Parts: sequence; structure tokens; C-alpha cells
Amino acid sequence: MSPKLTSIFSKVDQAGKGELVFAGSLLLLGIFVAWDTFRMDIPQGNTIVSPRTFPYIVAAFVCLVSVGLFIDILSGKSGVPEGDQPGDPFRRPDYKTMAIVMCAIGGYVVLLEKAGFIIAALTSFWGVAFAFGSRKYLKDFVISALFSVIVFVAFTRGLKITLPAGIFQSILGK
Amino acid sequence: MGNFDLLLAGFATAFTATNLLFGLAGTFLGTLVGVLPGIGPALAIALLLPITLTVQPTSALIMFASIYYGAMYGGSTTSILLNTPGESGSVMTALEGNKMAKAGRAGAALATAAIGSFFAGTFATLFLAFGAPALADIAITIQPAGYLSLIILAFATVGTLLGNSLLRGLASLAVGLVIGLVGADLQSGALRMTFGNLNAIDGIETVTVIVAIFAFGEALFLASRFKHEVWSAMPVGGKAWMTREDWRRSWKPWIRGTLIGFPLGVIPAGGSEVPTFLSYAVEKKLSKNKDEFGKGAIEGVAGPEAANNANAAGALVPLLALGLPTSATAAVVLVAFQAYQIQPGPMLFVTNPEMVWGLIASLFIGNTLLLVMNLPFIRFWVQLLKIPRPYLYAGITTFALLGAYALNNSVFDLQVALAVGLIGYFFRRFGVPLTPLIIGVILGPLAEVQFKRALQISQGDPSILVAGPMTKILYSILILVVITPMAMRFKAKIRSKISE
Repeated sequence: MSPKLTSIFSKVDQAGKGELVFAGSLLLLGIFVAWDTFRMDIPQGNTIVSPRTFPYIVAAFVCLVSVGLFIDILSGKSGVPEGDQPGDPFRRPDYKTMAIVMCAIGGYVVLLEKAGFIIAALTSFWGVAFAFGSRKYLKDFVISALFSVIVFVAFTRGLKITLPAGIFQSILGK
Repeated sequence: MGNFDLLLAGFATAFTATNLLFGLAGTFLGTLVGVLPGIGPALAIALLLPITLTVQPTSALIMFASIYYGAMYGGSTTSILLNTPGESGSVMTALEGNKMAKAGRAGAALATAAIGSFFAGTFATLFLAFGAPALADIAITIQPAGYLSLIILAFATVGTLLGNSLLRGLASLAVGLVIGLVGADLQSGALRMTFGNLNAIDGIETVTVIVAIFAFGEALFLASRFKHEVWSAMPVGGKAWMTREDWRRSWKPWIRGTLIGFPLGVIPAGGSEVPTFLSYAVEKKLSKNKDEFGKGAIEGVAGPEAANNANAAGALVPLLALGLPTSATAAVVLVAFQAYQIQPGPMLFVTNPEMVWGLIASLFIGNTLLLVMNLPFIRFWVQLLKIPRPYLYAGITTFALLGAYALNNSVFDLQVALAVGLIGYFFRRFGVPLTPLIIGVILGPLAEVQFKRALQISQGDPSILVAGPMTKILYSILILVVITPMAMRFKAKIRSKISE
């Protein structure tokens, strides 16, 4: 890096670097909103206020805040993660645990309409419990299954809310 | 009929078997979600919103309001015993409360929190019962431009007062406003940011955003620091009761907490963070036992707890009388009203008197039930803290997945929820508060409607936006309270840059 660039980034710590990406995404979001508003099709009809006005204001606001964030971060003031005190050491996120949680949630989304609520909920419950360190596989499975069945019955029978029965359609479906 | 008679009629509504049952269920569930870390009142109500499809409006809203109150009680239990405040209003309680618990005085801390909450809740609900209709009478004359200035003031205060960084609060609000833009423009039908997706035309469901940002964002954030956290509950020492000395030291903080919490709930101060902090600071300043602060001073529990509950009641005033939510939970309650096609606001007391007075009356009943639930039965709630953490988060996540889907039976909602969950994670990681986003999602579209109405009245002349005494006063407040400190800080920053 050129000396000038290095001096700009000199005050940015490890946590701040990630936050620069965050501020950058915010700027992109603002530009995107402005672009989307610009190319928006407006149906015929006379309105005094164009449907573009408000989105443009929002886009400008987003960009402004993002620029403010850049200034803040570059001057060494990065955000304090929730639950931390200012000055706490930077802690690298535990990507493995996060990935398992994401998979568990994603599994539910994929399975819900194909296999039904019970299978989907069993997957997400078991997966999240696994992610947070539970390793009693059989016990976890039994609890996940009980949880899914009880919730399914309580919501569909008790509260009359429809949920996909999926592969248990023949037993549970009406 | 005077307000007092209407309130009595409200008690008649609240005392029907069904409504009592829903109120009881609400107080129970509220305490439950308050005690359990990782699930707060906003998320709990959002998850229960599908019942609006099958339950009577009055009963459902009684339940939701009881959850709101109940979570305040439950939250104090967790912050005292675990030192992990379940919601932002309990942060101050944890400071002294957990120290008291470590010194074997958990019982006294829990008791002063519960009795203080009861005291504050009862008086603040009384203020609510007489304040909200009065405010509604005034509000009925507000013009669109005035309403817009009110919303903008709410944006500014919610965005800047929460969290420890003004810019990050505004960033949160900005993202919320963008989410609120998605979908068809109500007036012209023009499509915004739908990416050609038919599901997006109706806009993004607020409930999905709330569920995802709280539940999934939280689960991911906890996962990201899984290696670092330790979790242990303190045993409750002795009974949940106070000595004569504890009473003597608690009653004044209760009163002061109520007087601080209620007005700060009425004005859009962004939830319970500011009032509980203020109450703590006041108690520390006034206390004769200053050296006890930081080591377990009972005043530091009594004051903020009272402020927290009074604040919750205060937040219901602008919600019912103006249709303006000032906290995340109030925002979800607003969504519940809308699910029944009822718009809270000045007309609510005229169009739905039975419901609104039934709601207020049931808050008195709920508050009394909560005192009983949280004093003699405290041991039951403490047991809940022993649920193994993996199962707790597995359960919350799965419930959230259910809630995100069940409102519209839509997989699109689930996909949106995943994306918003990631946003929630990054917000937490970079210290960006979440409530401004929710306020932005809900009030953004409302702001646009008022903006357009105002300009239609004036035939496009923008000077109407600052015409009239109300807008002038509100924008002056905005400049005084929010923009001036911001400009001063910026100036100081530039100056320090130059001097470097």
C-alpha cells in the first residue's frame, strides 16, 4: 500500500475493517435505491407528488449516513458489538457454529413444503441444538421430534393455523 | 360518559371469562419470554400474530398487552440472576441486581423489582387511562404536515438516542426505510425494488422482519461468539421478600422511576434504554449510600425497574392516541391492530371504545396477576433458567421459523426472513441498534402517505411542510435536541483533525 493509503487506514483496527465493508454495502444500497427509482415504470395518471420523490429522499439519506460511517470508522471509531464494552478485544467470529446454524435454518426452508412441518422443524431444532454444542444424539433426536409434533398439533388443532403436513399427510391431514 | 365510567365499562369487558383467560395467558407467556434469554416481548408477540386470524380482536390485544407488561417483570429476574439482561430495559437492573444476588440478596432484589414494577405499572396505567384520550382529543385536529413532522421527530429521536453511536442508529433507520419502500406505491401503483418478484408487490411483511431480525439475527450472533460465552444462574438466596430497611430505601426510587419512565415513554425517546439509564443516574446521585453503588445498591434496582414498567405504559399513549409506535414492542402491537383492520390513532377512542377501554382495564388486572406470579412463584421461573442452552435456542429458532411462515403460508416470507436475519447479525456485530430499523419499516410508508397528502392539499407547494405552529415547534425541537449536538460533535472532530 502506498504510504498515503496506509495513513488513511492507520487508525482502523481489525474490527473496523469488517465494518468498512458494512459501510460500503450501505453506500451500495443507497445507490441501488436511487438507480431503481430512476428506472421505475410509472403507470399513467396524474399525481401531484411523483412516486419517485420519497425513494430519492431515502436514497440520499442512506448514502449520507454511509459516508458518515466511513468518516467515523476511518477516524478510529468502530462500532462496539452488542454486549461488549468499548475497548474489549476483537474476537474472531466462530464461523463454523454460524455455518451450522445457517444450514439448520436453510434446511427448514427447503424441507417445509416438500417434507412437511414436522420433518422441517425436527431438522432445524436438532441442527441448532447441535450447533450450540449438544452431542447427546439420541436424546436430542427424541426432544426434537417431540417438540415438532407437539408444536404441530398445538398450532394446527389448537389454534387452527394451517401448516404443511407433508409426508404425514395420510396420518395428520384432514 | 366520562372517562371514569368508560374505564369501569372496560373492567366489565376485561372481566369476561374469555378475556380474563387471554389476559392470564398473556401475563404467563410474557413472564416466560421475559425470563428466557434470547426472546423478548416484541418477538413473542410477533410469533403469536397468526392467532389474529382466529381470535377476537379484544381478546388478542389484551393478551399482547399483557405479554408486553409481563416481559418487564420476567426480564428483571434474568438480569438479576444471570447478569444477561434479556432486553434493553433490564441492562441497568443487572448492574446492581446481579451484585446483590452475588452477595446473597437475590430475594430482596427480585422483590423490589417486582413490587416496584407493580407500583409503577399501576400508576402509569392510570396516567395512560386519562392521558391517552386527552391526547387523542388534541390529535384529531393534526394536519398531514403536522403528522409528518411528528414522524420525522420520532425517526430522529429513535435513531439517535439508541445505542452508543448516533450514526449507527441512523444507519439502522435508513435500512428500515429502504425495506419499507419495497412493493407497489399505494397511489400510483409503480413497483419499487421488487426485482420482478410477484410476492414482493405487497411489500415486505413487517412481522417477518421483526421475527427474523430478533430470532435469527440473535441465533447467528450467539453462534458467532459461542466459544466465548459462559452461562450460569445464581441460586435465589432466601425468600423473595424485603426487610423494613429495604422498603425504606425502595419507595422513593419507585416514585421517581415512575415519574421518569412514563413521560419518556410518551415522547418518542426510543424505548426503555434512556429512562432506565436516567433513573439509575438519578438514584446514584441522590443516594446516601453512594459507595454501595456498583456493589449492589437496592436503589439501583428499584428505580430503573419502576422506570422500565412506567415506560412501557407510557409508550402505549402515543400508540393508542396517535398510531405512533415508539418502541419495537409497541410497533408489533400496532401491526396486531392493523391485522384486524383497526388503525390506532385519534379516532380509536371513538370507533372502538369497548376494545380500547377493555385493553386498559385488563392492564390493571394483568399487573396485579403479575405481582402474584412473580413473588410467591418466583422459584418456578428460576427453574426455567436451567433449560439447557442448546435446546433453548433450538426452540426459539424453530418457533421463529414457524412464525415467519404461518402468517401468509409463504416460502417467500421465509427467504426474506433469512436475508433479514443476516442483516440482524451484522447489525449486532457492528453495534448497530435494531429498533430504529423496525420503526423505519413501519413508519416509513406512513411518512410517505402523510408527505403526499400534505403536498396534495397545497397543490405541490412544499412550504406547507413547515406551515402552522405544530410543525414549527416540532422542527425546532428537532434542531435543538438532535441536530445541534450532532453539528457540535462534527465541528469538534474537524477541529481535532486540523490540529493534528
